[in-house]
Amino acid sequence: MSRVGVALPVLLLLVLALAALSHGVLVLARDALSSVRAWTAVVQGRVAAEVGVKGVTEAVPAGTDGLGSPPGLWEARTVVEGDLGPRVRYRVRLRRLGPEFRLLEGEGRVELEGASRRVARVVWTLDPVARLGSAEAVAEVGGRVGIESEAAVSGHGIGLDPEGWPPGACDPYREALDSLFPEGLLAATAPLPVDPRSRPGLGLLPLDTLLARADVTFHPGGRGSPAPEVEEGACVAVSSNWGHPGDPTAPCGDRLVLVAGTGSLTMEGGQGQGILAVAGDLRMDRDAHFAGVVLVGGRLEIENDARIEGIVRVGGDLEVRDAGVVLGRGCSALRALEAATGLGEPVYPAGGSWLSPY
Amino acid sequence: MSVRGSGLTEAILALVLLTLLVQGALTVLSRQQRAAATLVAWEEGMQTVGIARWILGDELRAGVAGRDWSAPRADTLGLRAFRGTALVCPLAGEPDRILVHHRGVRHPDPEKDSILLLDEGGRWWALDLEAREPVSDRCPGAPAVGTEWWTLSGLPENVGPVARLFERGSYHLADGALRYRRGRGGRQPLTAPLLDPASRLRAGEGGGVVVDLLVPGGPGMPWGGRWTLWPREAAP
Repeated sequence: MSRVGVALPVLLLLVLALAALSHGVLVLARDALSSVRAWTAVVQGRVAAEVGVKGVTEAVPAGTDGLGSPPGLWEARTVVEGDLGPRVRYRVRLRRLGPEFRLLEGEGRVELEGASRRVARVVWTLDPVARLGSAEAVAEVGGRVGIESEAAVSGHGIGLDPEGWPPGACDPYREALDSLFPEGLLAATAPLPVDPRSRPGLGLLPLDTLLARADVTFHPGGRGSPAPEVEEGACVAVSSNWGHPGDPTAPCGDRLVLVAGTGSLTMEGGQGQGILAVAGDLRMDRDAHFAGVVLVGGRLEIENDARIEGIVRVGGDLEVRDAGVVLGRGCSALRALEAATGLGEPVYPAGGSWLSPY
Repeated sequence: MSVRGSGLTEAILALVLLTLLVQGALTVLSRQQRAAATLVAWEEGMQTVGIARWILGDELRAGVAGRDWSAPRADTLGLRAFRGTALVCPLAGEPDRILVHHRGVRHPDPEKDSILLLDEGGRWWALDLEAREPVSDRCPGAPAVGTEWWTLSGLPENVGPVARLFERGSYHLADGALRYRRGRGGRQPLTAPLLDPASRLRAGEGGGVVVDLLVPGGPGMPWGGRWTLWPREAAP
């Protein structure tokens, strides 16, 4: 064979080898590109899902009730759909986990790659009926209970109207009250069913949150006797006016306030209605009257004909004496909880609310 | 020029040209081989870094900093590795077990899994999963597949609506790879052993985890760098 005859096959073999190697490089490059695209799609999907859920929670500060009522635990309803770009879409669905818990399910999808990621977030929103239903007694007490003979803590009239109210004033709450207390009874006292180191709150709303969202605040060691204030037949919204619990038809009868303070408080007479949250001790004296929900981080003393209508949660001791009374009144408590619209914002479980994998 | 002399010259010229051509082809082949090897190294490096970053990011975002994982030490990150979520079927609980619909990356395994259960007061309880029993029709409305009884230790009275399935594990940067160790088992590699010994897992400021991943591979190796993975939620 001539030299030309040897060189040509060698050259052809080299060309073949080059072609094979080039093809391999091309396949490798395409593989790398595919994996980068897939990884990017997964990240985009996750981001889209989270953005959707965060968008819903931030856009509905008044609570998930603003999204409408979800159908139930096993039926989710789509509340938001959107996109983060030409190919990245998200969808958020709402599921009802219980009276106060909701689940927001976010799904992010990248269309061409078909990648999809899901995350979920647990949301809690205060529900007045569920809150009242969670009460195990009129007075839930973390410390010692002392009730003198002429004083009283009673849950026998939990379904009754507050004293002095006109007939029918509690009709809007009648169905809920009959459902929660079919026999019209609630235990008078029970241990506070929370961690004894923590101060009583409202469900997932700790006392500190109530302090931050209060309509009216008082200084530590404060003393006072709040009273309804009316000018020209209209109720005046001043900090010393905590509403008129004795008559819902009076000008200040529909004024219910969230009163809170970081220290202790003494009510020397006076009246009010709504939610009273006291981080320290509360002393009610001389015919003081409060209707609604009373939360006390420290000690609660009720004396000298002072009266609470509603429900009470006390972190420390409860002392009721000298004709002081705590009357369980579901209507007063429900009315106070419904009026506290500032407490309707979504709350997330402190130990984590995001769920993945989901 | 004679005919014989012309033939010799042409033969020499052809030989020289062919030699040059073969030499050029060999050079191209050699360079292409080097380019292919570089590309392979790049892809492996990219995969290694991408996988490590993706896995660690997903695991950290699934948990709560300070409760489900803490700052890494000595290139080791111990954590609760979440593997599924379950919705609790209401009104179907028993003193020591709950009926749930579970969805996750694998089936629950009482041998290695534990549960975080949310109660009605918003508190998470860590419980051992003692047994599971798949059922299909005990929770009205729930999908049949994935519905099962979970027997749990120390079930609280006020069972909430959600439970999370997790296993205890730890991630390690060791012997050039990201490795995962479940319980007291061995460290299984999750990536190719390409990482430089200087790669690190360490605590960052603000509760983040700093991940330094380096893939040695010569000049131009683009896959590597430093990332801080931030917690999505922190323990109160």
